[in-house]
This record gives sequence, C-alpha cells and structure tokens, in this order.
Amino acid sequence: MKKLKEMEFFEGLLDNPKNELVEKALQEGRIAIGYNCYMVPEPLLSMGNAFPVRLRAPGVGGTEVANHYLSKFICSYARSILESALDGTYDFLGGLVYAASCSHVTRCFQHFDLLNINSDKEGFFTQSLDTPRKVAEPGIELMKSFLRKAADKMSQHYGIDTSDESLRKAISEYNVFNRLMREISDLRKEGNPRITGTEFHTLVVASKIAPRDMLMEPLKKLKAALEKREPVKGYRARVMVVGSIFDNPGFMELIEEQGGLVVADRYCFGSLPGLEEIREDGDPYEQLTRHYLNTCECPRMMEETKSRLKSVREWMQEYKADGVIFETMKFCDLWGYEVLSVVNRLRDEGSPIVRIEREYALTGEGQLRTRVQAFIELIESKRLSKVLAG
Amino acid sequence: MLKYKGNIKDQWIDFKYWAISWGDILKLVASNPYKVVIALFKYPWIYDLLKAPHLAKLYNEGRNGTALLLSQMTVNAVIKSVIRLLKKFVYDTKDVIFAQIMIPPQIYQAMGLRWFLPETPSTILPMVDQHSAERYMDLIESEGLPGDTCSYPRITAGVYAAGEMPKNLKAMVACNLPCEGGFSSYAGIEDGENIPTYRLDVPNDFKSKEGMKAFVEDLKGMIAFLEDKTGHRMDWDKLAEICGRFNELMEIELERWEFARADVPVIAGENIWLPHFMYFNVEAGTEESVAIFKELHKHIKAAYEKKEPAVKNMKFRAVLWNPPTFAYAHFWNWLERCWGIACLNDMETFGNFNEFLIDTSSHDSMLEGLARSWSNMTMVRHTRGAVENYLPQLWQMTEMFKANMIIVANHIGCRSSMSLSGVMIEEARKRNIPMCTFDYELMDSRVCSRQGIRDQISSFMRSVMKAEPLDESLLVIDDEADW
Repeated sequence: MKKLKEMEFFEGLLDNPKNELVEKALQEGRIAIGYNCYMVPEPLLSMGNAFPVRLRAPGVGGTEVANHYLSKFICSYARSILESALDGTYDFLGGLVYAASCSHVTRCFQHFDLLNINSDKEGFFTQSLDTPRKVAEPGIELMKSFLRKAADKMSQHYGIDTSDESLRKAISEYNVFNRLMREISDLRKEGNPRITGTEFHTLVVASKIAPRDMLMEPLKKLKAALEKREPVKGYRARVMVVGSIFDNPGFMELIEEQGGLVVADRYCFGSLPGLEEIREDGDPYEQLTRHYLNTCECPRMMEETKSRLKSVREWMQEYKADGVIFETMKFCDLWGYEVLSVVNRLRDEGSPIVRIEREYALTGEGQLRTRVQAFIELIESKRLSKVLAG
Repeated sequence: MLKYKGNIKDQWIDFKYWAISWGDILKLVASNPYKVVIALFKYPWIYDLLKAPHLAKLYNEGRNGTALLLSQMTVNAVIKSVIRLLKKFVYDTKDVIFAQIMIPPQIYQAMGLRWFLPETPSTILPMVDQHSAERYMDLIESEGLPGDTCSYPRITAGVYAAGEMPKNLKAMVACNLPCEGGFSSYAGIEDGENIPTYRLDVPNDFKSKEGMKAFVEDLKGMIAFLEDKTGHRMDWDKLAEICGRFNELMEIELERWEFARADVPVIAGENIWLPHFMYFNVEAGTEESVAIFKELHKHIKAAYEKKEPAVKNMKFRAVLWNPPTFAYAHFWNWLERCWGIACLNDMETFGNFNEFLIDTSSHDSMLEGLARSWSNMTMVRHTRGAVENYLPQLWQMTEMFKANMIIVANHIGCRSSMSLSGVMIEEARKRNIPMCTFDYELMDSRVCSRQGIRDQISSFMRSVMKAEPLDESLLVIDDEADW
C-alpha cells in the first residue's frame, strides 16, 4: 500500500519527546505539562497556554540506572521512563501531573521528587492524582479535589487561568479534536479499511505528545488524503489488540507485516477508550472526573472486570475483528490477573485469542513474529473449518 | 532434625503446648466429627494445617526460658485462632460471608456475622509447610496467571480455582489493600460465585483529609451493603466495646516494644511479629486477643525483672524491613543461633501508635479510627501513598530499637517496596547503617530456597559485618525436604 506523504509528518513527531511541535510551542512561551496515564484528564493540562505531553521513552535501550532505583522486578515502562528522565529527556517539562494508577508508575513518578529531576527548573512542579479504583461518590469527590490541586499548581506556578470557563473551553477544544479523530478512526470499521493499524496508532500517539491545536490542520489534510485512498488489500485477518501500554507503532507494524490488520486498539495509548466526548455542561471538574472514571478500561478499576470483557466482545463485533492479541507487560499484576478473566473466558467462548507477554521496548521480534504468524494461521484455519462445515 | 533439645523444664514446656495444641485440634473434630470430616474432603488444605503444632518446634530449637514459653504460647494461641476461623464455616456456610483479610474484622464482629477469610490457606500453609501451597500456585499459573505475581494472592486465587473454598456464601467484601495483586485475585471469586460484592476503595493518599473522608464514607457504604445482604444490623455499642479492646491491645503492644528496645531485650523475633500479625489483623478486637496479649505480657514483665535475654549470645540488634519469610517462618531462629542476631521489631509490626488508637465517642469517630488504623496496618501504608509512608519509619524504628543493622527481606513480588530499594540503599549508606538485603519470594521457596536466603545473609555477615558464625554447622542445613 502506498504511503501517504501526509502521514510522514506524524511519524516524525514520535522519534523524540521534544519533537518539532513541542519545540515550537515552547518557543511561543507555552508550558508543557507531563502526564503518565489515561486517568490524567488531557483537557485539564490544556488550559490557557499549557499543553499535555504523555511520557514515553523512545529509544531507551538499557535501564541500568532505573534498575538500581526501581529494581528489575517492576515493569519496563516505568523503568524506561525513569531512565529517560534521568538522562534529561524531559527537562523541557514545566510540570508533571501523574495519576497513582498502579504501584509501578506511582513509584516511578515519585522518583522525580526523590531524585530532584527537573527541580532546578524554575516553576517546575509535580502533583500526584489520587484516582479511585471504583466509580462511587466518595471517590469522585476525592478525585475532583485532586484535579483542583493540580489546577491550583498550574495557576500558582505559571499564572494559568484555571477557572471553570477556561476548563470548559479546553474540554470543548478536546471534543472538537476527538470528533475529527473519530472520523478517521471509523475508517477502520469499513470492510476494507483505508487506514492501517500502524498508521492510526501513529496518529493517536502523536495526539498525546504534541499540542493538539497544532495537529488540527495536518490531521484535516490527512483525513482528506485518506478518503481518496484505495482500501488496504492483502491482509489475512482483522485483529484487535488488547492490553497494557503500547506507544511504539513498530509493534503494530510487526503484526501487520504478518498479515494481521489491526482494526481495534484497546491499550494505553490506544483509542478505545480515548475519543469519547466529554460533557460540557455543569461543573467541568466533576464532568472530567466522572468521564475518566466511567470510561477507563484498565484493570485498575476493580469492579469492572465483567464490563471490560463485555467491551472487548462489543468492540470485536463493531470492528469486525477475527481475533484478539492480548498483550501484557512483564511484571504487570493488573493485566496478569486479567488473563484469568478475559483471555480464558474468550477462549472458552471460541474467540481466537493469543496472549503475548512482552517488554516495553520492541525486543524479541523474531519470537513475536512467529507467535503472531501462528495466530493468524489459526484464525485462517478456523475460518476454513467453518466454510467446510457449511 | 532438631540439634538442641533443651533441659527437662524446656522439654516439658515443649510437650505441654504440643499436647494442648493437639487437644484443641481434637476438640474441633470431636465437636462435630461428621461435618469436620466432610470439611476435610471439601477443603483438603485443612490437612496441612495439622502440621501447625510442629511449627513451635521449628521456632524454638535451642531456645529456653521465657523466649521458649512465649513462642509456644503464641503458636498455641494462633492454632486456637485458626480453629475459630475454621469453625465459622466448617459446620455450616449459611449466613457466612467472604471477607478479605485487609478489611477491619471489628465491623463483622459488631454485626454478629460469621466470615471466611479467603486468605486463610495462603497465610498459614506456607508457614507450616514450605511446599504445601505449591500445588495451588502451579494450578493458577497453568490457567494463565504469570508466575511473577506475588505468591500471597496467587495462592488465594489457586485455592479458589481448585474449588477448595466454601460455596454459596451470602455476600463478599473485598478491598484494594494492600496491593494490586491482592484485589485482582478477588475478581475470579466474584465472577465464579456470582456473589453480591462490595469493594472498599481505600484512597492512595489516605493521609489527606479528603482521603480519610472518602474512606469513612466507603466504610459506611460497606456496612449498609452488609446490612442489606445479610439482614444483620450494626450494633454500635458492641463496636465501641470491640474498638475499646483494640485500644487496650495497642497499649500493651507499646509496652512490649519498650521491652524489646531495652539494653537486654526480653522479647524478639516471631514473639514480636506473630502475635501482632494475628491479633492486630486477623482477630483484631476479640476478647481472646486481649487475653493472650495479657498472658504473654505477664511473662515478658517477669523476664524483664530477671533481665532474662530473649536471645542468648546476642551479637547484633536488628530490625526487619518488609514482610518476613512465610515459607521460612522460623528463620528468626536461625538468625539467633547462627549469627546472634536479635530482630527487635519489623515493618509489619511497627507504626505510629497515634494512628492505631480509636476514639469510641461516636459512630463517625469509630469509623475514622478504624479507617486510620487499617490504613496503617500490615503491608498497607508501605505499599501506598507517599514515599514518606515507607522510608522515614525505617530510620525511626532503627533508632528506637537501637539497631546496629537492618535486614531487608526483598520480596521480589512486592512492586511497591522493591521500587524504593535504590533510594533506601543510598539513604542507609548516608546514615552509615549496615543494611543486609536478601531477595526471596514471600511464600514460594522454589524461587529462593531457604538455603539461598541463609547464604545471602551469611555472605553479608562475613563481608560487611566482619562477623563469624556462632555455630558453623548452621551455615548449610539440608532442609529443602522439610516442612
């Protein structure tokens, strides 16, 4: 399939956290606020002249120093982020807002304070968010109070307007951007999609690491180009990827090279969830809290196991996925337990599913390739059996 | 094989408590032989619990006097406690609820409920026999759970997957303490039993005003849920009485610490850890908990007056950080006899007593007291919230117990504590405190064997502490096939 020149711009943003749009925004005097998880509301960090940058660690190979601080027994995403931060990759951040979403990332981000990372930068602040693990009123009030704490720091340190009006405006802009992204995302539902999983993943990652307002025009151009494009041909199966953090389109590329077209992305840095609209009425801090708690599909939400299984089933139908690649990061307890309730259940129901344990960086490619290949062959043989059975 | 047998008096103590423990077990069987036999078929892990009287032997080899007596009394009290836990469901599961170990049991007691702790087998089995829980870990791993998750919830999930937990219970209460593995392991039970469940969501930042408020509100929600599902009502007067007993226990505990920090410590090792673990968590606030603490205390006071040391030939005063080795439950004894190390307090026991005392003047104050004490309970405050919940108390404890070394039990399945190890090592160096760190897996001695643990400690003692063992023959012990 012919590569779109409009896509190259987005690909270029992924190589370095301080990409050209971030540099441009910083030169304009804007403030980059780092964040770590879906549970940190992007509109909160988009108020005034601030913009959110979700932390990644592209290009980090070894994590020797982070291993000393965090040990080798926690997930490689957390270790890679710390290694990256210790190398000064994130010295451009004006602040860091992190959700206490799981113990790995919480401890990782606590090391920003412990090791005085960026502490010499004027105005730099850190704020953790206490994000509940179930949707209930006491927790909603709690999370709301933490969102206000983060907003207060943005206001105190950089004079950012964090009023309800300012947040409502950020939510509205977020919704506009998401509408455009959803139109592109829906192309994946077509019988013969006009966008690959690798390309769509590149867009989603780019939208989390660069100011969204600067992405609007390139995205519109890309959408126009995609609409004129020929559908993807030659794939052997449509797959949905479910699991923990993926921020490297190289993984999707590897799957697609084996003939599996990734049509649905239920992972951190994916779009399921991520493109829903946030209500613009009422108390915006409360709306943000409720939105993120209600839409979170991470197994950190302890009451939603059944609902997560249901979501996977529904998305499989909606995106016409033939099978599920369920990936878990090594040492991740949350996704590890999810295997028992999702993978085994879907397998029992007869849905083709393969479970892959992996590291954050793209390593062990050969093994991964073989497993994906075998999985696609399994889907094909099941399909053939069905045809033969009439 | 036991190397030291002790004098006649010590042997009498050994025999007496061994006989009392077996008497307690036989009384359980005699109380309703039919139902107990049925329970043994339904819950085969109960067989392994029969090895519990032997635990006292392991704890006490080479000990005599008060240290021996305290340990024997404690093990017997624990056996009695486990029998009480078993009685709650072996006769009849009607009106019984599943209750996670990290929720204040004072609430169920005050509501007159019977409850089953799904962690009962996972807590006790590895202590009485290092290999007895392996079948459950293997089973759940074969179903897809990664083998690197903490073995504690892994065993719980395995016992449930084996179908060896009570069925058709009325409701379940679970919570997000102490960690992600802990709460995730309950999804299987909830799904498999299709049982009404209340999940208590303890805030990460539990020390904040907002966090505490949310916790108290959630506790109220849990009580309302239990009232609705079981028909039992909360008896607030009874709760006040139970909380009062819990406060009494805390006062005794503080005195116990004074005796441990004395120049000649009269209490050490599991005699500090085990009663705290059992009676501040599993049986918090029961009449029996206060009775055993008072009884133990009487002997501790007498030993203090006689200046009778808890550890003969004490060479080093240590504090233990992180959970002790459940699959090597008697490792305290080896520390004492091989290297003369007395463990004078540990992470699970130590805490700020102000956080444990419960104000019984109103319903809300009791719930706030329970919330505060449970936020600071075993494995909880260390695995959650700010770093300040974890590290400063280590230095405070080291100073308070005049420790000249810290032993860090690096449980490789505990993400929250492992991920602060670098900062902890650097801080210990700055403070010039020798820190002996050994890697192990809480309940799985196949990951790091008992000898592996001993080798790591011995290596540190020789190279850093420049010490020589009190008994060379204890450096290598063939105990892999032992219980």
